[in-house]
Amino acid sequence: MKSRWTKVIVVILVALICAFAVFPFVWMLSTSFKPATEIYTANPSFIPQDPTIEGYKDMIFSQSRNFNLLNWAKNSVIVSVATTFFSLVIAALGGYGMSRFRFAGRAALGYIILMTQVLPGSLLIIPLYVILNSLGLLDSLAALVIAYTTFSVPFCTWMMKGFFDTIPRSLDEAASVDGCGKLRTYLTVILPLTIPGLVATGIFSFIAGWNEFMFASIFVQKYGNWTLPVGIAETAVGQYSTNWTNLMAGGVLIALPVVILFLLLQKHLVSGMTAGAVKQ
Amino acid sequence: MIKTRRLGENALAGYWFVLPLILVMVFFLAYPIAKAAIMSVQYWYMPKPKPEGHYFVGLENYISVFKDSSFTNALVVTGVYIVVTVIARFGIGLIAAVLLNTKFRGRGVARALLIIPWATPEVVACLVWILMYDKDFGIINYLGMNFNLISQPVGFITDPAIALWGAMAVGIWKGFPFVAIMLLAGLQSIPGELYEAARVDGAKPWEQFRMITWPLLKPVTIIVFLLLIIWTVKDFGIVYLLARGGPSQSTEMLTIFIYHTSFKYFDFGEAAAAGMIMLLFCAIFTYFYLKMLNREEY
Amino acid sequence: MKRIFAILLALIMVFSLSACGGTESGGEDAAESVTITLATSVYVEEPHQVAMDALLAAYKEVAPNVNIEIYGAGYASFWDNVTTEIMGGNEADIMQIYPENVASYHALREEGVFEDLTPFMNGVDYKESLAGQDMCEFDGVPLALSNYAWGTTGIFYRKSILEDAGIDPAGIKTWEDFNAACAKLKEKDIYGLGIITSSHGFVVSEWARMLARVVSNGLYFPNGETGPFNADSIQVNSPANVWAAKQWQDFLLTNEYGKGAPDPKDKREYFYNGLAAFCYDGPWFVGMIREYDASLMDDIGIIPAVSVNYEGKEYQPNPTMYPLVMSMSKNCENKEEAWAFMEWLTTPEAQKIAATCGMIPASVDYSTSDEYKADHPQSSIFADFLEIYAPQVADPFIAQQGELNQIMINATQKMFVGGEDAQKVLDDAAAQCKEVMNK
Repeated sequence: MKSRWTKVIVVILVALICAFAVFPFVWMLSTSFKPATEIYTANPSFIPQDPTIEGYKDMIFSQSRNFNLLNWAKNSVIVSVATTFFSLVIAALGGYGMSRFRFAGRAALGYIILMTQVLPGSLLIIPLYVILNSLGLLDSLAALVIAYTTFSVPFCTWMMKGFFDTIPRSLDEAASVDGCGKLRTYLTVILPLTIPGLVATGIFSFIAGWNEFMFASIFVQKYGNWTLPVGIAETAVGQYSTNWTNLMAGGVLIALPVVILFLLLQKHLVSGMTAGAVKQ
Repeated sequence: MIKTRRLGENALAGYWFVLPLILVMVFFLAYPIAKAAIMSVQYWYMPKPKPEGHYFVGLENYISVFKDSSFTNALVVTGVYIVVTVIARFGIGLIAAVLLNTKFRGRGVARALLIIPWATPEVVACLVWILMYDKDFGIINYLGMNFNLISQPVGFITDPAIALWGAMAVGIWKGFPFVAIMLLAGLQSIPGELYEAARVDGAKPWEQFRMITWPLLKPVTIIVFLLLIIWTVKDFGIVYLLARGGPSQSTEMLTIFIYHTSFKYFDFGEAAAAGMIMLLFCAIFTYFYLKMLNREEY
Repeated sequence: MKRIFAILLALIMVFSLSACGGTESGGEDAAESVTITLATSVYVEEPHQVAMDALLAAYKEVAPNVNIEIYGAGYASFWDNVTTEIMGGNEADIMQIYPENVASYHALREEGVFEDLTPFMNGVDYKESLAGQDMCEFDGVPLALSNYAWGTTGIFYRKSILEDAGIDPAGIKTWEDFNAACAKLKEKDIYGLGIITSSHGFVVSEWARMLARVVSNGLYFPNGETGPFNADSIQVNSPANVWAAKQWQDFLLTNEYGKGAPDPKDKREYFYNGLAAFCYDGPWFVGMIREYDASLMDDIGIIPAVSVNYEGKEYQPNPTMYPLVMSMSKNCENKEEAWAFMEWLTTPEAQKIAATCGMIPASVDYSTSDEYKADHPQSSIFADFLEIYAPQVADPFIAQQGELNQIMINATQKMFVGGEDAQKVLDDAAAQCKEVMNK
């Protein structure tokens, strides 16, 4: 009766919102299979009339000496994984420290962490560039890992702190009564309880590394060292023409791993991000 | 007793745990910020290099920032962008969360689909939207004309009057899933028994929302709101890739203004000053927000 | 625990491998060999990529011990990247840029960024033999070598559409002729031209090339955008420029002969699709048309840009050439080898390879040779246009050009999209330009 109507309305609204969310991706998918003549046409259609996989073939098996999608994918993976690893280590340590111990400057540190979220990259790009140059790390994936870790660590620490806060202190105390030192307590008792939080934080930094464009395009010079976003954007969007087929094919290829990752791990991501918030 | 004895040990161990964090922040954040701060009070107008080099100019860069009409424009654009995007992201996200919190078939699929805007890389997302927004060949204009929603093709990111809205639509699209998922988790953590009890007591749905949902959702809401605002202020990638601050600087947010001042006009002093101003605003805002947050907890 | 450590170890190994992989160049070569880095914005474009790869391969035969490493982002990001690199002291040994960029980048460091090429030139006057070399001198000092290719603009047209509308392309010689042709097209509901009306730099430069600079000989500064570069010389609101703005407004807004486009790619699409019968573009467009649809090539013709009659006098078009030139960084460690490469590019065999990119090779000897005309008939047509055109006028090569350009982009958008009064807008713009020059 009343509840059935509400259900119908709910489903319709959800369908609308989902359509809004998914439409661009569907369009991207559709365009990636269209030949150039069908893209810039006054009568666009969802289903390509003359579907082609040239876009995908071109992007994956490109003949060019320097432009190689698979190579870029490898770079993106390396950068993202390394960023995730270092971010997790630093954040897991720092978050625990801020959660458990009262030390001078703790509140200030929390405040500073939140503040670093607002830093405009454009302000820091040149000074960071100079630093990395003096370290001799420019044009290496290490430069990107450093930059990405730097920007993701504060937020990850904050998330981990929230997560640690939800674990009762009594566990730490019980462990130390049992004779565990602080580090051992941390590693064997507390940390394993935060796996969901680690997963959430890990996903967050992985995505940040995978998607980032601005720093990647400036810090890395050689074509062989480009990451996926840079490679796709720079090669398919030329000064002369935009190869939309290739571009969209590349877009699907980059987005797909991320989307799948998100889908597989979304439960952990959500519980990780909200654990702190919800119980706070 | 135990507590005071542990306090000294506590502090030391605490420092060790946060040491890596602090090291990273000092070297790669504090130093660049310091350098930018210094640049903001030096002469860095590259088109007219002076023999004295980058000498100290006091607050001259700051004054020229305030006098720059592009800066005022950037403030307005950023202000509009933040207010509209945050409210829309939050609103749509909240609605989506509430909807997804009700049981219906396909709920899991819907939740999965919602993630797509969040997961799509910025670069890719912007390029698709540019194609969709195209005035002559884009699908949005095509559908709009066909369904008689509009009488003339609209330049979503090429018309100065509309471009900011076009950019905000993409920002909203990209950002609302985050809100939806977070709020959904918050909603799902509210025990069902509370609603049962309320219903037994005769409370109507609106009252349930007001008495149960809203207060219990507040902690998550506050966090989400804060993050939204902070991330929106920093929004550079999406708007830049869509319209590069144009047309006619109608989408030139503060971050893009800083970028252009550095890379187009080579006035690094003014850019640094603008960046410092932005930093100051955000610091003040975060301070008050945190204060409010802490007060909430008690 | 052991598993965690194993994973950690693996990750550390992967990470260090990547760090090593990034910097392997130059370290392990034989003592003799030398690596030179070349930054360019056109390598991402296919026609240039093919040409460059061939050039690098050919040079490997000439100088086997020299390893040229090429890199560079696409046009949109390239310029910011170069700025960052120069500011960080990390720029490439050789940079392939346009003459208009040289002054801005050179100013980024106090002692100058680019090497004075005079000692390398050994008294040879390249201005005679290389097109565009005259644009490479700043304060009398050659900071770049025009050793690749250049382009200029002409008007492409669709034969079938013009035939259908009863227009004879050979008869389109003046701005009035062009307007008349567009009027005829309008009857058939076809636009004349796609015109950039977004915040893309072309919103200024298309108008400047087709009309403004033709009648005023300088949008920003008089005498072909030459010095003295100070506030007093600004002539953005000169009567000629204002007249040109009004003409463009008529063309675009009143008569609707032109169709607004956000981007050069869109205006080309109009041309492919028959929405517009003309396209104001350069020799690179030939290759693009061929790639888009080879059969379209038979329907394409090219005529020179039109002359403009202003206050009783006929002015010949003077569109910019776009020579791609190379500059050497002062920080280059192997200057002799770098110069050898730069100079080799001007030789006939190198120019022949460069010509495959679609633009006109810089070497005057080669570009006027029968061989070139036979191999590249459409591109060489553009070279012939130079005989009709007046001396070309380019953007002023000063470091403030970025700001001046932005002021004009805003102004042209106000006039050509917003339809505001040209005199007032240009007066405002002039005032702003003067402010910039007075900084």
